[in-house]
Amino acid sequence: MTVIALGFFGLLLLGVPVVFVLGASAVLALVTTTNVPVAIVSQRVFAGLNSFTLMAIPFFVFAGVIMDAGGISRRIVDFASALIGWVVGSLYQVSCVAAAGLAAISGSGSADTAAISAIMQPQLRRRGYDVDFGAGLIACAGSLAQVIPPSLTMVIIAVVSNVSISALFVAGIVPGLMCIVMLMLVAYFTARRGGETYRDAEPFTMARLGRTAVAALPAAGMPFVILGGILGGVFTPTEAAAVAGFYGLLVGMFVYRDLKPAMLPGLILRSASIAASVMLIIGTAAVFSWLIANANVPRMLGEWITGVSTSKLIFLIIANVLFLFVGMFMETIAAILIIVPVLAPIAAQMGVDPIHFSLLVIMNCAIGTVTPPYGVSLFVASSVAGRPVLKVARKLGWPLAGLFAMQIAVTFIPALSLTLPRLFGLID
Amino acid sequence: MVALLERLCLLLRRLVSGVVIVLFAVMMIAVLAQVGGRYVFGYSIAQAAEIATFSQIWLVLLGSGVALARGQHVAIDMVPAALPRPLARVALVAIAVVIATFLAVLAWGALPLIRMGAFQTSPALRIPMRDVYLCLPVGAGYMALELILSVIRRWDDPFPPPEVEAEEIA
Repeated sequence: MTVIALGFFGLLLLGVPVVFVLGASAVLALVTTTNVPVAIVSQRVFAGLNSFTLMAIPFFVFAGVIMDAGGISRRIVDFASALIGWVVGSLYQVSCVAAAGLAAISGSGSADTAAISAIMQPQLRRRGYDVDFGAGLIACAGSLAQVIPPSLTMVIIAVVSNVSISALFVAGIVPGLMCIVMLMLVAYFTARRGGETYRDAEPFTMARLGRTAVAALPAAGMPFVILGGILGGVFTPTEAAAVAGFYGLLVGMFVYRDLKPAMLPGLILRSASIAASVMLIIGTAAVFSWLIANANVPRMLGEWITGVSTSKLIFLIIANVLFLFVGMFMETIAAILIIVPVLAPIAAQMGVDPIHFSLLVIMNCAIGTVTPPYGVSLFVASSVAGRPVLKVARKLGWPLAGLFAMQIAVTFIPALSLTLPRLFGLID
Repeated sequence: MVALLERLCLLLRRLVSGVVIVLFAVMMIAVLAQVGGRYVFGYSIAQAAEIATFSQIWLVLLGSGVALARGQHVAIDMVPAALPRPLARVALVAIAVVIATFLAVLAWGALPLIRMGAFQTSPALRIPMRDVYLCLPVGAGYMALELILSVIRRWDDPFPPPEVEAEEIA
């Protein structure tokens, strides 16, 4: 156990890519602590990739890449700006609403953050907004793409803890939107204290709203294809992801015409290499989590937690704090693959609904991608804004406080996540 | 010598990139055909899921090499980036050694699978599983090649500040 931990953190600090940290420290632990032949590494990596369900990941990555290159992101930002650009702190509000819109199409928090930042940052700068706060807010709003369906993280956690992807998708809708509203409130109060700069809002006109809505309509079809198709039992989530990518391709090429056939090979290669780097992590993390299970960690941790308290609430608080801590320091997918198999059985034993538990993990992961020292969304938002990560991190206080408040609410009120999937008959 | 090696490797990267693009397209078309077959033509294509899954496995192993070339595998390099250049070079080589060791294990561990796979056929396509398991040593080999090249390329500036594209994963 100590060997695994030391090897793991040592390699991580040395700057070895996360995917190989997982693989190499697993090999190290195998050789030093067990008699299991190292050939199991190859078997586990192969088994981790031999999955039709996980194929949703490359397809959702592709849908996200196409959404940006095909001009869908831009139309959604235009629509958001017509819808809410008249409120105080208009650019902040537009960023939040547009992030929610993109989240319903894309499954990746950092892709979402990158898309919004690229469009909004130049405007924030031009109109004299606080660029650091803007970057922090966009990082928070963008990270919620993991909570608002579809979501890559949800696909992974559903496969790991064997819950229904559809139920988890639907469970994320209400908490995800609540987080967005919370961020809008934070932005509103921050902007109100900010003086004149934030009041120069664009007037609301019905004509503009109508025009941008028509332009955004084909893009708005994507979430309906994805969610409607899955809920209606038309597609499996993997098929829905493929259809969504194909639909985005058609919209980008024939409706918006921003996408040219010559761009396709580059976009596919980009999606493929992003997806490959995510999925190889799944492969190597599978070896690592097999080792942890083999070292009896789940049972030991379970006994420790039940020794502390048998209360469901105390367990949820411990799980939240643990995940938050891990999320601050670790890569999201690796964290899920290592910790969820350990905690999910304990949660089940405590009587926590698996969908509720999975959603809490997802929300923690979203927060984890914004919090320093290691937060992908924070890195992306800062780097697009051209600002040092630490300067942006300093302005994160209020937006993060808002997300924490929501995390607490969703922890203590299971109905927030469970009502909608029950309504659709996805869980009982 | 190095220039020639780089030229050859560039050619190989082009080839692998092309194969990755084709695999992705095949994977997507197979899944779409599965949906289309079910709803439009009213019969299901039994081989589609297997074609897609095998494409995915090859795609990930080869695509990881492409991701390595593009510096797309997430790493936390705050510590080595703060080191003076000679020490940063040591870190660069140490990282490469760790990765190479893992890749060697991955390739070596695949040999028994490949031996066994010669006698196994896949359920739907009836192809020998050996052809699928081969992705492990081939992918590991290509990643190792890109690894060596990236060490040479990064020798003068081992840990450049991150670019946006490099961070963009889930």
